[in-house]
Amino acid sequence: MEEVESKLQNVVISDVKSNHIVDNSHSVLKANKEKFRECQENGDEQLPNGLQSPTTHQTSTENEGSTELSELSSDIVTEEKCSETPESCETIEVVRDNKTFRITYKVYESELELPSIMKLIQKDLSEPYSIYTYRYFINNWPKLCYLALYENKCVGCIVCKLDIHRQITKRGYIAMLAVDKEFRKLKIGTTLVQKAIRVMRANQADEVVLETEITNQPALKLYENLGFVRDKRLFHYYLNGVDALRLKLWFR
Amino acid sequence: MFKFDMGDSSQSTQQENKPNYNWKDIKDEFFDCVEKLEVGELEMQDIFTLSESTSAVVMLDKASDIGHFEKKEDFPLSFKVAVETGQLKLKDFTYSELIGIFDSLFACLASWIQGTSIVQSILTCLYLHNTAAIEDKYLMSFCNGILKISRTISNFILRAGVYEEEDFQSNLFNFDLCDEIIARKVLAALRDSENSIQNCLRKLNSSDDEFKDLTAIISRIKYLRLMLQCLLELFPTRLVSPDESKMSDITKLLAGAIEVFPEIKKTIDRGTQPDPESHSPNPIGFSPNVNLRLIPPTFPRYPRIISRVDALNFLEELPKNIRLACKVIQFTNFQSVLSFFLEFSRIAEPCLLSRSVLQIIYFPAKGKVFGTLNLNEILKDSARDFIGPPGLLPRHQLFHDVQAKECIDLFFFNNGHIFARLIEVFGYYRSRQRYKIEELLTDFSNMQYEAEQVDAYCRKQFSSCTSADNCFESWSIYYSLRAMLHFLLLGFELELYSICEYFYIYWYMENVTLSWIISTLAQAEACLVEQKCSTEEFKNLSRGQKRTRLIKKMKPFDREMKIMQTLQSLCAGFCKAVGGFMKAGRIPKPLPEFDSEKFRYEHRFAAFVDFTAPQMISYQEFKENQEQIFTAGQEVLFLGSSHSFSQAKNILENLPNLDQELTSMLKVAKNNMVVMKLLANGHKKESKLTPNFDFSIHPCFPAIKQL
Repeated sequence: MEEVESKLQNVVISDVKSNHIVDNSHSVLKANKEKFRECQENGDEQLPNGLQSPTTHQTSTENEGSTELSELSSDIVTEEKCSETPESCETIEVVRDNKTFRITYKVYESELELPSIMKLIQKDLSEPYSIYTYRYFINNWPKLCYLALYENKCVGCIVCKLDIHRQITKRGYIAMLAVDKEFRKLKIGTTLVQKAIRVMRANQADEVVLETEITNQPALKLYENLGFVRDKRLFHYYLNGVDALRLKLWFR
Repeated sequence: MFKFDMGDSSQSTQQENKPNYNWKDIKDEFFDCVEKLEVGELEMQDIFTLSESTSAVVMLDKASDIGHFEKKEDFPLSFKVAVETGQLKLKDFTYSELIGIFDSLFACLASWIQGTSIVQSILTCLYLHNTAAIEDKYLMSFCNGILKISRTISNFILRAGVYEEEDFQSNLFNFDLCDEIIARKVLAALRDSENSIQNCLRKLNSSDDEFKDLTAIISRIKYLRLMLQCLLELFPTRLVSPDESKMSDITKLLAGAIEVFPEIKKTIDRGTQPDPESHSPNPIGFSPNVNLRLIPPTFPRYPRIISRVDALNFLEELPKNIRLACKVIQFTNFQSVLSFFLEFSRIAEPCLLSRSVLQIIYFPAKGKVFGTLNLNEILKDSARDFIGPPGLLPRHQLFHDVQAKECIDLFFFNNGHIFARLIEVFGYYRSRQRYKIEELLTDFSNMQYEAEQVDAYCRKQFSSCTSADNCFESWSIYYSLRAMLHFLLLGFELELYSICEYFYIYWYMENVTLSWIISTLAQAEACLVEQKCSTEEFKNLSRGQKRTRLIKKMKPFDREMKIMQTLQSLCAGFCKAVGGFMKAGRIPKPLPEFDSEKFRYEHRFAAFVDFTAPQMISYQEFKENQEQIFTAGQEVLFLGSSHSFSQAKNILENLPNLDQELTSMLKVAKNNMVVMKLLANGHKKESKLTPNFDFSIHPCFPAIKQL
């Protein structure tokens, strides 16, 4: 069965012609989005994997700021296209233990990047998201997905969304953040978050939220250093008994 | 592509029929068709939509596909098949096996109360699926007892309703929880087992292994019987809580359960222990996946059953908490009731059942305290005891004014539900309380407005020149402030505030919330004293010592005021301490690009925005205040802080009967007084390290320790 699944995924990403893909993705996405909306109206169980209520999700293991996809959006899924991308490609040099690393940050461009994003996130987080979950975020909000590359290898990524919460508030949501274990302490997590938030703010976001386990000290430090505060404590958010914290950053 | 028959998912057999295979290999055909699709394209049909495709993609994935089992022993095993294949015995249990089953059932019971679904905890025990077939008297009576107590527990929890989906899985999936057998018979069977074991014990030597095993068994059966009986008797009959005499009997049962528990804990090793490699809580009698098809596929495959040690600790506290809950019938004064609920919420925090029991005892019926007293009447009494509004005093003219009476009655009629909800809030887990209080604060602000109107009306009807002019408003403000204070303190307890926020949180509590509570209490007390002094009996007392002594005695809020003053001094201490650290550059600040202290401040206190008393202090006003404080140098601030902690210490040292919480506060005050004094004297002047705020002694007021 593994063979079949990997074949499926191979089929999905083969024969890529970038522009063509974008066009097709949109028409397919429309169908997906209708489906997601329909799913939301029908209730939890209809939803594809990963978009169900928070109690189902397992914790991420220690990392520099990996967050779990958890929020069940009860909002209308808008076809939000982020109009500005302050920096779509930037290389930063960081030194760690006397070694210099050149990390290139770029915004998501095509499906070709999806497998490496999935691989990175699956390594860090125990929750098995299907490809559809990644597509939901990345195809709807590609300008909010950033990758960190080292020598052309993806070593960090962030996946977000931005939509209207309770018909009033424009809310950014950080769904997943992962940094390869070998590349910690290089400010990659912080930089990815900063880039994503800049785009959100440029698109009139009122606030940014995310959830993380109360035991995830590195993540809490990262976000609090940027001005996030702990808005709510979510008891038994993860069914293994660990509480989560909802972190919020207000722009107004 | 193929069909695999899992059998039906009900309580009866899962594997009645052997699976029927109907394989047809269509791999090549499938991949041929797939070639025609573009990347990202999906073929949808009515019977195969996005939902089905996402499930198809994860088929046979061990984490996502619930029909896929890695190990043979994880395969669901029904009662019938287990018995037929000899995997489940129904008689000839060793004592160790019985103890093992009993303890794992206790672990499942505790897990269920703490949030695991009943079908993934208690009902994974196959014996519970058909207790009538069990041939061992002890096991049968115990299993029926477990089923019966589960039904009773769910009655309490569902009725009280102080939980959310993540706290407790309320779905019982229509399982028969010994509902056919009446409680009396279940209890009789348990007692029968106990008597039988007692007879055996008489013939044995206390040093025999058999004696120890049987003692272990009898203590478990006794605990279950006593707890079951107690819960059955506590549940309100005809919407009325047990009276004092019945409560006394119930308390005796609870004492018995508490007494027998040490024996249970002592003998935990005498039972069969779970295999650490397996998901089953016991080597025999359980099939963790037997009910898998009942639960949504999103639930965890292997639920967490808490360890036996943790379960027993939980069950040991249960009768103690319930015994404490029973004490609530002694309180009729609402102020005391509120304090009781607050305190209980802190003590019984981990146990939803205890908190539910307390809710049911107090409100067995909506709006009726203990089922017999009208909540609105109790609230009126509370207002009368708090500040003595003329409209509620029988000897006052206003009391006999029909229109004033109507106005007052309407006020309580409209707002009584707020207090009912406040009581309910304290039944929830602490983390839920905070945002429930936030929601309730809007209602409190509306109530304050209405109270102002009532006061205005009363003044118009009977102009008085006493200080009892704003009685109802004061009373409303007092309870609003209690809610606000709890809201702010919970933020510390739930670890919500970052270190860069401490200054404005403590500042707000010191200068606004606590300051208002103290002045409201002082005003209320003054009113009560004035009223007492105006009575005939007081006027007849001779002047001098008798009168002065009596006035001193008439300080109903003395203790509470002192506690509030302690809190205020502690907050002042922290405010100045953090201020000093900020001046010394020792409090880390977030990066400025996205951070805004103004927005943080405004959102943190957003729940107070609708109040007129106290009016929310704007960020600008706060900043002006902060600037004034910061004109002092850091050493001056540290010295001021030390004085404030010293003040708190003095108040507490002169307060009799300190409970555990006040004792912790005293410890913190003493520590901080010393540490701040050292800093004031220039100790570690050049340090830039962030000080350590240790919340282990008290969750809201940390001991300051330098790194």
